[in-house]
Amino acid sequence: MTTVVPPFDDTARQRAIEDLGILDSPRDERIDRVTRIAQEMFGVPMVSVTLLDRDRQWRKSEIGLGAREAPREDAFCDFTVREGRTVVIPDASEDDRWEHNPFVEGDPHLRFYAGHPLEARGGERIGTLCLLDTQPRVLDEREEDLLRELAGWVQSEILRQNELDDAVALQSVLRPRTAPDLPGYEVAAVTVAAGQISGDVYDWYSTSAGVRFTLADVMGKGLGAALLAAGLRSSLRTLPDRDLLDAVREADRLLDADVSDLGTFATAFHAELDATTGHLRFVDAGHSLGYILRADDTWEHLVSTGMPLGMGFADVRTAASTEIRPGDIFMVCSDGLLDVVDMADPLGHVRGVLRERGIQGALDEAARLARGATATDDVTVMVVARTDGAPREGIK
Amino acid sequence: MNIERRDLGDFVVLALDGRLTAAVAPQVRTAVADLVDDGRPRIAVDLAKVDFIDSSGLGALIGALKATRVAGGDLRIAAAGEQVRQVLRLTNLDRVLHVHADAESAFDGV
Repeated sequence: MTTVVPPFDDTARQRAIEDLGILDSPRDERIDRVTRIAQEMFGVPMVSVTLLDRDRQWRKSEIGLGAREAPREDAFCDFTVREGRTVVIPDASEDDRWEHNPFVEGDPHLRFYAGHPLEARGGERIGTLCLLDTQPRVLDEREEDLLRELAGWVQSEILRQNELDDAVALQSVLRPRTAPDLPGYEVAAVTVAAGQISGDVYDWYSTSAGVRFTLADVMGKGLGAALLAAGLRSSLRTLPDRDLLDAVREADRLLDADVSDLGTFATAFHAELDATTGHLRFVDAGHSLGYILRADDTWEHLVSTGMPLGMGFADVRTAASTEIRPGDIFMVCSDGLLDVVDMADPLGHVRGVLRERGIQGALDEAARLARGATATDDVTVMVVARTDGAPREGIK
Repeated sequence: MNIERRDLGDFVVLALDGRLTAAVAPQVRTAVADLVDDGRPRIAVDLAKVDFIDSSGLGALIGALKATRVAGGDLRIAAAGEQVRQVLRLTNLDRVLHVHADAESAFDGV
């Protein structure tokens, strides 16, 4: 079989490598793992995932080379990328093309080289996975296949990371960037994903009747949960002036229509605040983690009847109401917070932190705990404190 | 996860053991799907030995409940511990998954 290799296009390569945003990025364990496996399988002292920039080669991962960067000129990997095929040089010192190469005649005195090109999504050749040795050696056909397999693995890790980075960036854009303009109130939220991307979502926006607040937690974690969370956010935001309960019912119906076969669901707390009166109307869909810390340090659990969204059970769903009075703090979190607070007295822990550190300090503490060792789930906390009126008495 | 199957004639008991989380949810789903495919959609899930459930575990139970109902059967749960009961209560799912005292009596009176 003959494969037609497209001619090398250096401009396309440069554009592709810049689009990937991978140059000068930190080491990535998932790619380092492949280089370690390659070293183990082939028993060579040096392995590199080399990417080509304008006039340099930059190593996303390397073993035995000791440097992340080297000149591109005269580089073996530049040759492999231009050729667009597996290149094996059993003994460079015996090879007309390579015997006077500076990497062969000088440091590190290479003798053996084997590399296979890595491609970006559009097929642009951007670098190589390569094996190097100061001793001559040969690769049999099976070993060459293995090298190609490992290069394919590296390539998919590079592209997957790039997709995930895009998704993470998009998810952060979908979050509110500024607190709503609510004189007399302080509004803040924090979210920390268990992995890189979260199945939790929080949101707030103005409607004609006040400000709507949402916190929802899609079952599971990661990219799948994040996709559904983004959809749920949009669905709740549609027609912002329709009734709270209608918005939740419609989101429930849409989620069920989309995912009923997957056995997945979301819990949600959706509320509307009339800032002037402090009246808070809310619908809790199986979430049960909305609270008000009253100025007198007691907790009110905000409960309404309704199962999680997307389950497809015909069930009663109701809205309920409460008041946020001066000195009160309304808080809703995802259940990930329960994994990182004092299990013996979660509400006592939260109250202590809120009282001692204030809203922002408390959210910083939640984020710190969420990044700690015991966290296994996405953690999100949203807080609305009413700061107008008489100051709170009797700090405990 | 270890899933023990006990055939009680009128219905089948699936006894789960350990933590019911994302890692084992597919196993539970498969065990239920196999029974439904065999024409045995009446299932009691014995949770006596389940000490922890997360949202994915809950998803597996709800998915299983729907699968049995679509096939004309039902899924009941029994002997759930405090953590499982608490999660069901907080999510209001105790309204569709009532916890029976033990698996053997889960279909009594129906």
